Amino acid sequence: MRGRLAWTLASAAAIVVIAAALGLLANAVSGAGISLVATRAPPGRAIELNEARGLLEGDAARFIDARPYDDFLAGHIAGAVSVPLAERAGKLDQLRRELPRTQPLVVYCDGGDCGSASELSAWLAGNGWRDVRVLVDGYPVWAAAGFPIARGEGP
Amino acid sequence: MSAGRGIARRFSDPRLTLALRLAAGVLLVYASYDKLLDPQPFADAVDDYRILPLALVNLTAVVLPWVELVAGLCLIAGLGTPGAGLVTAVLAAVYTGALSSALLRGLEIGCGCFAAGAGDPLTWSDLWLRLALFAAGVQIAVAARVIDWPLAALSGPARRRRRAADPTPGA
Repeated sequence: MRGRLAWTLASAAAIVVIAAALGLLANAVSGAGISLVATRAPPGRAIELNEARGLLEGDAARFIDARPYDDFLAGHIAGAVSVPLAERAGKLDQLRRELPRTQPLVVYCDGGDCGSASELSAWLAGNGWRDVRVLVDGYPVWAAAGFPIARGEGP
Repeated sequence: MSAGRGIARRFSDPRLTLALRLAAGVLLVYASYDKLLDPQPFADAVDDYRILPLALVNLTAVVLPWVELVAGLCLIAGLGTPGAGLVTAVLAAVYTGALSSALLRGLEIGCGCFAAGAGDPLTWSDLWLRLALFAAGVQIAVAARVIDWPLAALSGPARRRRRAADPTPGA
């Protein structure tokens, strides 16, 4: 009986050790491998206009429009996803499907005096996105600078 | 007393063990497949449970699917079978605890159980399969042989002679 218990524990430990070794090895050599320690940037960090434009042009971040949907239709940063602050809860499943949690996000609203971008960035960070920043100047300054915008439903 | 022996005999029936081993093994291998090919969505699903500190989320997402795969293959092959049953029972207990905790906290998250992504929202009905897996793991840990069919059938004349004296169904 004691021999069987020892065998059971030993083989269970061997399974876990072999699996861990295989997992770490596969993660190291696979193209889909991930860093072993995840990090999360503090939410609500500001990003300046030109740096944000660099991220857009380098396809290094997704932009999130926190304004009401009518404002998004009238004009938004090219490629942005509409997540009106008041409707954020209903958008969560869609965001989880479409945006990996490691995807850097830039949230914006109508400028320095609108709080919805900060609030939405805190909500996104609270739901697991690890690098969420706020475009302090918002959409009006972006559009006035002649940076890429789009109109209508599409991103 | 004899009723108790009858229940114990039925519990350790080799045909029951074989059926549970194959079912649990196939389930674990299937569950691991998507997650080990693409660990990031699984890491996101693990993070959504808000149980582990962030520093342990990715390591868990990298190792856990391989534990499922190796344990599942051992169950199917009949290698280290009681240990694989114990691992299965512990995995199922951990999953049951995590799912229950998320549901009790009212988290609206995906299970992350089979597909790499979050999938459909978690519900209490997701618990039944984990509880069944736990029961199967316990039965296998208690009743299976260390080297069992089909591996036992391939492992030499001495073992074959032993099996002839104590036949395992399906072997």
